[in-house]
Amino acid sequence: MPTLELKNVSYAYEKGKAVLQNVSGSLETGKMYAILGPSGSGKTTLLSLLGGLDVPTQGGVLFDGEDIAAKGLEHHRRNHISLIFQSYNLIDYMTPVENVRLTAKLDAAPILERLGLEQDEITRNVLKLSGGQQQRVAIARALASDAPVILADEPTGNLDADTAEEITAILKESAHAFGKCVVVVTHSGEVAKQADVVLEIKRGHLKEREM
Amino acid sequence: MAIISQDLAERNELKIGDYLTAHRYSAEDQGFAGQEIKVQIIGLFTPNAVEQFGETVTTYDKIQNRVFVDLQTSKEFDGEEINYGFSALNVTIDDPQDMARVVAEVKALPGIDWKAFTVEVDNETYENAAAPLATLNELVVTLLVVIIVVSAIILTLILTLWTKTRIHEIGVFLSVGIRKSAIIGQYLTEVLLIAVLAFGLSYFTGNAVAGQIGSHLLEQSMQTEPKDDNDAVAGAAAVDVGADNLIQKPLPTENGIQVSVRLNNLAQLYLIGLAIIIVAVSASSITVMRLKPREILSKMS
Repeated sequence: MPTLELKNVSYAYEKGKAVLQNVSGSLETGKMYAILGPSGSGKTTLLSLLGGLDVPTQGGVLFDGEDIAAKGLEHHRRNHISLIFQSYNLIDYMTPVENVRLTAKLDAAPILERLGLEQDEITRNVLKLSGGQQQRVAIARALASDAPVILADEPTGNLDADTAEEITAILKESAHAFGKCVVVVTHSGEVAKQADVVLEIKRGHLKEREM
Repeated sequence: MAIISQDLAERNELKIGDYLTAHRYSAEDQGFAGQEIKVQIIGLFTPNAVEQFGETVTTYDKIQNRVFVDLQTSKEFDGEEINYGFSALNVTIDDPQDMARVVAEVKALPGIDWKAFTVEVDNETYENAAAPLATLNELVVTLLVVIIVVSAIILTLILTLWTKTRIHEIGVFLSVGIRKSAIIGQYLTEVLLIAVLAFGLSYFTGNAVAGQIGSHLLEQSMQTEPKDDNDAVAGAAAVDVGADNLIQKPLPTENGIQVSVRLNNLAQLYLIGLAIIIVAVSASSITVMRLKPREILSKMS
């Protein structure tokens, strides 16, 4: 059974412009998906719907066959998915360890160290870390939640090429080694190349793209 | 025994211990008749008020000419057997709050024919003194209500602005699945921690400020009472038929009022403060909590 499913999902902003039209698809654990599309095509909107941050105008999102709205979107966000943002979205008055512990069901320190953060770095304020380090903290928060689905919105957008490659490798490992369903929204062709499945949004429709 | 006025004593060169010789006046005989009655002066009194200038008062009505004697002497003048009894009973009380209770006790006294007697309550002086304080109490209650409402509004506005500066944090919390109730609970705890410090400080400052305000307000209210050149008399008010208009009823003592903030008052205020905080935190969180996480994250980006 697929982990996440889109069932005839449509989404339109209040002013009536339809961003997504009758989108259907399924996402499975153990794979890394890349979603490509031009700016304004609805990539982030799609990610928001998958993550329970918003509600589709029509259709529904299923997790393990059950509508995510059935038990409440908060429950879905807390137990089924973890989010990684382009701008990291860490709590700026907390340390890396404290940020990871927000959602952690696993021990925070080992995960942070596995992602390349030193002991003294994980106990200092996050604002004193580099962009790459902050993104590692965000990934650690996602991994520590032990959620089966990781949704990443432009995770390498603010990073240099080397760091972006490292982050992409970590995400891919999360899918293959830890059995997560990883969905990455990206503009980067390099990131897309690393994905198992590449999806493209064009004119509100989602299609699998041949790489 | 007799008590005469200071004026009478001075004019007649009398002093305490001297004797007065009195005769009973007979209307039938148009003169003094019967045996002499000697009474010893045991005290002197000074009237609190005298007749106004130009006011016509008969010699008989002048309080200064009155001689107050004991009951036995009075009956000797009448030539009758002493028929012990009272035509009037004056009761003074220390606490006006006991008025009703004392009246009930007096009415319960045995052997009094209530067809012939009545109980009159005279607390005009107390009422005059208490009236401004009662008005003040109403003013304070009104002021308290206004302060509560204004405090809630101001705190809500401050917390609303504060919440808006934390919208990023709220968006992150919601996106990772933290419950809205937990977020509001965190903000409530933060405000309560500040409140605990403030409440603790107010315990010490409250009594000092209340004492200052109480003394000032008492001075304001006492200034409305008529001043007497003589010292105010505390305690009994002697009422004499025919002369009571010349005897001023006593004013309350000007020893001041004791103001203190009791623990139960503080507890009530703390509970009110807690309610204000809960209302303000809830109201300030509404605008943000109504947003979907995606809307918050959009605002953040």
